[in-house]
Order: sequence, then structure tokens, then C-alpha cells
Amino acid sequence: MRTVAERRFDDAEELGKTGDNARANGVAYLVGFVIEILLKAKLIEKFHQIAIKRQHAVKDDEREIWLLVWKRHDLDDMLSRMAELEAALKKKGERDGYDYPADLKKLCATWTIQARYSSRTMLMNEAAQLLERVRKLKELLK
Amino acid sequence: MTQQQAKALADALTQRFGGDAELEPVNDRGRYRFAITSKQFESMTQMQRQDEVWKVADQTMSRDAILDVSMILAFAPADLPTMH
Repeated sequence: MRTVAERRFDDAEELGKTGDNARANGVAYLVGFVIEILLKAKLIEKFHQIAIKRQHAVKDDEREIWLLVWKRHDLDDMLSRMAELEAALKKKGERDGYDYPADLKKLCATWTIQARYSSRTMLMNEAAQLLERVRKLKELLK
Repeated sequence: MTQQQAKALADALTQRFGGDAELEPVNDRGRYRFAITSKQFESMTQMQRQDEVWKVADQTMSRDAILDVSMILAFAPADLPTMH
């Protein structure tokens, strides 16, 4: 999944290089997808025994995790299941003078709205800023 | 965070931006997701909106409680579909 995330990030970068505002929403969608893939990879690592089950074999108390891994796109719910990841981001942020947990949550919210609700066309300079923020964050999520 | 703390943030968001703020718990772990709809966001990019709403969260919440802010969705009215 991490390889897929890198490939999608590369796709976003190449799309960003066009400088074409008509492609900006595509860049934003792809970088949000990178975050989703990396969070799902972390969930699979943590909840491996649940993630490898077929859907019919999943117990009731495992269903939410399984759905988050394979079916759902609630990035903040994924993050809420990994308090240790958030704590690690917080600790790194305190060393770097940067609020990584908040930045990750900002990106998740931006992707949620842009991907699902907004008919607004983004401009490429805005998409480029998202790209740079995800470039930094994705290294911390691997 | 407690429900009281969550409501305090929702109220602070409404006070700052006008409009309507909503909150909902996220998977019963003391985390809350927030959504605020305000005309003030119409002139802002998505990340500008995020930076502004998180300033309010920083001013309102303690360093521990702020980790329980799961997400703050910031909508302009035009973002939301209209039911006919």
C-alpha cells in the first residue's frame, strides 16, 4: 500500500507540473488519497488479524475496524483508532516546532470537503500548497 | 474531551464565524467532529479555512483536549447541495 501511495503522490506531482487550473482538483484528490492509503496501511499493521479476514468471518466487535480498512473513507475515524500514531506525530512536532497532528487533520478535512462536497474549482497554487504539506506528512506516516 | 468542552468549541466557532456549528462524537472515544457553515468561508481557500478554524481551537482548548478534536469541517453555504 505504501508503494501505491508513492505512485499516487508521483501522479499528483506530475499533474501539478501542468500548471493547469483545470487539473487542480485532481491534484487535491490524489494527495488526499495518499493520506488515506497511508492511514489504512497503518491500520492494517495494527489490526492485522482483523484486516486479513474475509467479510463474512468478521466478528461484530471487529466490523468497524474492518470497514475502515476496506470500505470507508473516514480519515479522522482511522486516526482516532491509532492514538500512538498521533502521540508520535505530536512528539515529533514538539521537536520540529510544527503541529503535525493538527496539520494532518486539516488535510483530512480539506480532502473530505473538496472530494465530496465542493463544486468549486481549486486553483493550482492552492493544490500545490496541499501537495507540499502532504509531501512532509507522508514521510511521517510511513 | 467532555461534551461540555466540545460545546465550548462549537460555541467559539459560531462566535468567531457566525453561521451554524455542529458537533458529533466519533466512535465513543471522547473525540468529536465539528462542522461549521459560514458565509465568511466563501472568500477563503480550503486550507485558509482550516488554518482559521484551528486558531479558534487553539485559543479555546487545552493542549490535551485539542487532540480529541477529530476534524473541523468548514463549509461555505455554496458548498452544500440544495434539496429541491
